[in-house]
Amino acid sequence: MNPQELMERYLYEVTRRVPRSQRKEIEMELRELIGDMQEANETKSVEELLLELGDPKEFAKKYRDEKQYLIGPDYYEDYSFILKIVLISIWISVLVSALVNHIFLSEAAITAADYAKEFFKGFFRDLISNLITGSLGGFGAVTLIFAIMERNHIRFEQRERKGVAIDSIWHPSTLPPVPSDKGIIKRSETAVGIIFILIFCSLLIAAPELFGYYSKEGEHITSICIFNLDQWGKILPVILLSMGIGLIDEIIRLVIGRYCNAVAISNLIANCAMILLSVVALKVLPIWNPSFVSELEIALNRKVTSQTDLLYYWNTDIFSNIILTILIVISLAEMGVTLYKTIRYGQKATV
Amino acid sequence: MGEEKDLIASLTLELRRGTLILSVLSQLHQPKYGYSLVQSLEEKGVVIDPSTLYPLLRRLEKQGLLISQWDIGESKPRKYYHRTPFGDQVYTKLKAQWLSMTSDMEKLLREEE
Repeated sequence: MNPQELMERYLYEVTRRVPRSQRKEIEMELRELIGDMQEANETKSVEELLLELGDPKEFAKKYRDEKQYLIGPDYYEDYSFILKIVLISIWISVLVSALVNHIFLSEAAITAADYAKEFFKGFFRDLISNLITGSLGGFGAVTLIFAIMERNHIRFEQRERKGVAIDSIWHPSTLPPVPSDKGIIKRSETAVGIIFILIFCSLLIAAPELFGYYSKEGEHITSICIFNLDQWGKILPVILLSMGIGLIDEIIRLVIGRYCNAVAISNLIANCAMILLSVVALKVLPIWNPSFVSELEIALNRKVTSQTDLLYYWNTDIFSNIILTILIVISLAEMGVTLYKTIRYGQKATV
Repeated sequence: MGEEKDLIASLTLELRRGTLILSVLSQLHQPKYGYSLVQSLEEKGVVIDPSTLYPLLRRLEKQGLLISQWDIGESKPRKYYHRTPFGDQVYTKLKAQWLSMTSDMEKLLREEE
């Protein structure tokens, strides 16, 4: 090969791996270097000289002084923990939703053998394709979140004392107190929360029919969903947004691992947002299936007329209000517990 | 045997790495370009890969120890580096550190003999 061409290729392989702003200058330096080497070693070919300089990848690595990570050692442990949780949740929900979709919705099944055949065909097709897309999606989302944190150097460090800058010189007096047992947020607790949120969301996305009443007519199983699936496209995003906020809160708890102001503030914001979104979902949007009771009446073959029957209130505000009250009470309780634990255990060392 | 050889090679490399900055700084009281520095160090027994030296020079410049200038007058452009006043200061202190360290090490290593 033409020596000039060889050199250009080498230069390109180095410079494409260094920061854009330094490319031109580094290219000039390398031209100078190779030129000087040629002058000093007139008997050697360009090929031999480049061999002396070594792999352009390694060369470029030395030019990038800062180590670059997609997810660095500071985050890696939390990253792999969350990734495991997310993937397990996705697999469980994929399995459940594939089962649900095919047990209840296999149509045109006449004989039991037909039914089994149809079921397994559809079940495995859905299971495998959803496992692949779900895993990739979950992996991508978790990686993206952590990569953004890494890139922006988001640190969950506490400012223990007011007026002490975060980058100030380390001194033993800046050591945070060892949290008492009750001040520690257990990993298992947050893991359960995260798994619950993820499974709930996946099922709402993949198999909302699951939330409903099932009836069996001969071989055929039908489901009457409590949600308004006709308007699902409007309702689902609100629920997912609310769950997403809850998820971020859980992740913050997990990473910090102890009750402190940051955890309390995050929890406060998340719960307020979730209350707000619950109001939107329950009071503004038509979340409930308006014909749930009438379909149920047909399926059960009886009329709901008694005022003592909870279903009697299905299409009234009362039902939404009850659910909303429960959600608000849960949110307030969670905020209260977090605030209490932060004040009680989060500030001072226990002596 | 191969393992021992690898280990010694990597430990030696680690030892040498610490000396490179001082070696480079020592030569740059007057302007030199990269390859002339490679050659002058090699003449004195200090071998340094260009792929190590060139990035190192940039780093030292970023730290304010060196300053560079492109000389475009000659047949081809060359980048000359020399120590800044700050670089002089740092070099003097590093040199003193090195001398006291080597004399301590000397004593330490002679003990066994």
